[in-house]
Amino acid sequence: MEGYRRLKHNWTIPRAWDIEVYRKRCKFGYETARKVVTAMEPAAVTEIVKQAGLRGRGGAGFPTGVKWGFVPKDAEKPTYLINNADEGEPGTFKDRYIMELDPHQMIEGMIIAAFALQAPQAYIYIRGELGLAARRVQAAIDQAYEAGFLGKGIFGTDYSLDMIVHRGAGAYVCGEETGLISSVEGKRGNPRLKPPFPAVVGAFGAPTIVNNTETLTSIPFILEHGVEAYREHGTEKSPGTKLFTVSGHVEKPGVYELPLGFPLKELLYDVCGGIRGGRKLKAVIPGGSSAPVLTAEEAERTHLDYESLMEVGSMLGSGGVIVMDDTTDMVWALKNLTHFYAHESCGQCTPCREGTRWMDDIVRRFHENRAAEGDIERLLDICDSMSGTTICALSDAAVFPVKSFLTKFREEFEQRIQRGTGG
Amino acid sequence: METSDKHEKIAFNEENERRFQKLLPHYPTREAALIPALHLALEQYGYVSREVMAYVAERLDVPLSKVLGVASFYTMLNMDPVGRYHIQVCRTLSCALRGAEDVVAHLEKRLGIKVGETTPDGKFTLSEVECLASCGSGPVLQVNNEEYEENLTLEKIDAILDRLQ
Amino acid sequence: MPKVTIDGIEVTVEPGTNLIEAAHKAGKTIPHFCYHPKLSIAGNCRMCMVEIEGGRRPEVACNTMVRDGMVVHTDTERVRKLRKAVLEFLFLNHPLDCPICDKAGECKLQDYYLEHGRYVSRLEEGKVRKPKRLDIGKHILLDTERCVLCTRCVRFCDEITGTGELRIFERGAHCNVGIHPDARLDNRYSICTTDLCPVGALTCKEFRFQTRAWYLEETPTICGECANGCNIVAHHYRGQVRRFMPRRNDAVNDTWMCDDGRLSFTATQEKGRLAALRGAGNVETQDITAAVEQVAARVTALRTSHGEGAVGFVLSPRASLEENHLIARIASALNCPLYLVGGNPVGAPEGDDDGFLIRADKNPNTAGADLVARRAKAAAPSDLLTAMESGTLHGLVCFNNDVVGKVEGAGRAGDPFGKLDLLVTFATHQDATVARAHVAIPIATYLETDGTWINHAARVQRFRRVVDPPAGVRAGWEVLPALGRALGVEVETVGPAVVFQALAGDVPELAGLTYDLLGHSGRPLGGEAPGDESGA
Repeated sequence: MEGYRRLKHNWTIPRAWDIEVYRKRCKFGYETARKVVTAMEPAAVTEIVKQAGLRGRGGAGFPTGVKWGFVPKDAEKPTYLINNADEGEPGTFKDRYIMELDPHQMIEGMIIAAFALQAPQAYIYIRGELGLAARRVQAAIDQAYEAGFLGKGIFGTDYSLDMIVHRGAGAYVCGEETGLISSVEGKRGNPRLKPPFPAVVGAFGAPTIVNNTETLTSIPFILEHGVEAYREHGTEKSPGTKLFTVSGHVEKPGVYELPLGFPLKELLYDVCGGIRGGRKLKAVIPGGSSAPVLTAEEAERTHLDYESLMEVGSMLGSGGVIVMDDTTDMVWALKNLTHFYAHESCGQCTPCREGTRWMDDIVRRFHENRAAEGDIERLLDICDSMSGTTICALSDAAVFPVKSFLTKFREEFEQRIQRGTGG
Repeated sequence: METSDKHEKIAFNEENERRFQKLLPHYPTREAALIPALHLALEQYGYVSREVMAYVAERLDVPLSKVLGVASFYTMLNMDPVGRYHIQVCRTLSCALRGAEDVVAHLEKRLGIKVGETTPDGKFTLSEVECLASCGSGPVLQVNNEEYEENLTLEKIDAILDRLQ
Repeated sequence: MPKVTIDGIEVTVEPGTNLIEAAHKAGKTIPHFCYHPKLSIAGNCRMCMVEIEGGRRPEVACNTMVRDGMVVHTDTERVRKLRKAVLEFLFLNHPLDCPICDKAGECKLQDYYLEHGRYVSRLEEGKVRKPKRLDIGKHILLDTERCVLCTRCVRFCDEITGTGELRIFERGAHCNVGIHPDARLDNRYSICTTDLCPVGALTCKEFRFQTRAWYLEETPTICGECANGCNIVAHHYRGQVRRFMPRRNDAVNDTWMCDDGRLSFTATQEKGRLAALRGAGNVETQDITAAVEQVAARVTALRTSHGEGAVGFVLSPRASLEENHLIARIASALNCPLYLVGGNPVGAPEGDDDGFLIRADKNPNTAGADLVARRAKAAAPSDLLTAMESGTLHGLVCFNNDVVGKVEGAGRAGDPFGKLDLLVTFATHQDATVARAHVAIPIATYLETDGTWINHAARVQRFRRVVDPPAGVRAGWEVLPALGRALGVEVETVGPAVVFQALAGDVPELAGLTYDLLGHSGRPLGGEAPGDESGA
């Protein structure tokens, strides 16, 4: 898409991960960071981001500027900025490409964010499987150090920023900010009770801001072009553009930068070339597997912004759009997802630890035609006990697919019961 | 949990020692360097054996039980030996919608092993893993920690195996 | 001070109090597994969820601190449903081991099921099997199937003992509590993990299959194995102590006790117990009264021949304040020399103090004995040795004190004790003094009588009679007045409470204290307003 040059614009420039190329040929070439760090006040930076209305792109959609403001002014310990590059939400693959193709814009965004927070230390938590991304990002960081954009007294000021890649080791739950913090501390990636909130007590007991990769990569545009320019696209409550990752049964899966509020129907049929093989659309998960599934009818009338998707009973989440055509067995698809959540639950909380496995066992029975009367109600009841009752939202994330599949595609599950009971 | 079958003393090689020393100053506690250190050991030894864990525990002054607790939590930190080529196929929904199950079946046929097993010559281990963040180019597999092999077809899989043989 | 209303009951609490503690103050118990007042908050069991007015959804009580004006409901339909759900989740893979599980009768899963569960199982899939009966430490067996993953044991080993043996391994439903294969759970407080464990996952080998919990009666008392004076509960059945467990006292031992102290009751009760009279009285019929009279006669004879000061008495750091007081009274009335021989027997480990609850001094009442000794101007052990060696001392009466065992080189031929014409000991167990004594009279142990001790931190605490002494064996507060009277001292046989009263009247440091005031949690010497709560 031509009109949106804030996030993907450098991806088509070869070797944009090389700082020489980035500085000469790419936006923003570290010039925006220079201007911010040498000439602005940290509080003013936060205010601009707040006004721009940028919302967290990892899934929660929390206003970024507001989050930065939660760090106590009188904090005793120095603040940490952590880039959440643990992209693990099924259907999502945007942060991976940012890191592989345009790590410098991400780093530039981090420099500006860290400066706003007056954080002396930043970590980029990259999921362990993304070996290439980790190598590219660390190389980019090393180049930035050489150029004086990281390290002691960056851009010739007295603000110092240390940055390092910290690799994950294969755990979806580490994408949850407190699970990530536990992991950075060298521990099992168990999410933590809130309160205390990370902005007050986070990594190593210090104030910590965890932001998604795409969120941080969105920062340079906002500082370079201002609030109005940022709000030119998107909606009132969901301003700006977002990277949508489309996968599954479309002709042209991939990463697309679009304004928030874009009609989902247009994304599927125009941008992505329609359903593969000319088949019919059956279902869409709009925001990563943890978002409730939409029927084709719901998908075709909704828009890709936080509010619209909530209205239709789902969520924008990570913007991972998973498309299913009419060949899809919804029981099989749900089994695929229940297995995922059971595997990824950290195991701390009783409802999630036991519930994700129990649901996986029951859904598998459905798939194997061994389900019985009452199993649907049982699943829904388990969902109820797992919702809002745990330390982190993984439990709710596991519940959304089960509940929405059972609600919107109930006949397929009932059929399995009939098959199982010989009916 | 396996012990390594080599009788050499476990220690970082020169390059990994250099990398280990380089990352330590970036953390306020030694414990925080645990996963990065285990990654270095993983690269060097292929899996995280009991001896490796004891070595890392000692280097970082972290209780042994903690290292085992961490290693057993994270999928990538294999505590059992794997073949020279650890083939990991993504099984999660987007890839499954594009034929990941066929990819696995084909690999099982060609390698003569089931998921979770290693070929008798110790060359290949076949695993299913969860979403690798490559959904738009699925089905996808990863060999060890290298660049992903994306947009897989049966022919591509055969080519990959031929290359690795 | 914030006020909170819990199920209609208003309570005022300290800022920073969580809702479980606040509810407790209001007389309500919120069920929980992972919360423990002495450990960090884990918040993982999700059993303690309550509804808070104005909140979006139920919250865990353990991690919700009281805010002024908060209104909490612990028994709504939603809360009850959630509790049932948590129990159902926990029981999914919990083995129904109750018939063979030590924890039955004091198991939280059982108790909560009866109170909050009572649902019919909906599980179709088989239960997951995990390793059982794992020997993970000198005293501990682990059953990972029973574990509910509350992490209390893990947090205990991290936060209290700092030894970090226990850990959770794996992830998700595969999670297991365990220990590294090369390690052992061998810290000196390891059995505390079995107190903490809400189910039968961690059990104590020594207690395994011994007695069913519902048969046990409990008596609160104090451990007598060192100068710390940990508050304990002695569980007994059919006249025998079966188990010690720690009792909460925030001023002494929180909710902990060491393994040595915990397992000491076997030795205290039985092993090496001085079972029979030796050397005086009617040994066949074990007539203690006759023995005491004979001892008195021999003491009187020695004093008549060699002077008032020919027979000495020894105070004891093991004996109670009351008993030491009686000894001092008798000695003073008769103008007999009085000695204090304290410390540990020769050969005992040196300096065994861990900076936590284990004290190098293995006597429970050194401070008490010192107090009595100072007032009575008792002499030191060196004076005792001199008196024996010089021949001025012809007789010595010891009480609950292995005096011979505390002197270097004692017990061998030619040692100063050999010069005594009469060595009398009132003892609970066989020891070096009993072996040398001309007369050995059995007395009750601290499990079989009442009294008070002063611990290393100058706290006065009551220990209580848990079980009866063996037939015919008497307590110190009975036997000592009898001895006194037989020696011509005017002293009545009154219970320890009255003796303590008299002592408190005499000793300024104990002024104002009574058995009632000492209660179950004791008082500091020198007095202080109550406030160091023992909790409940």
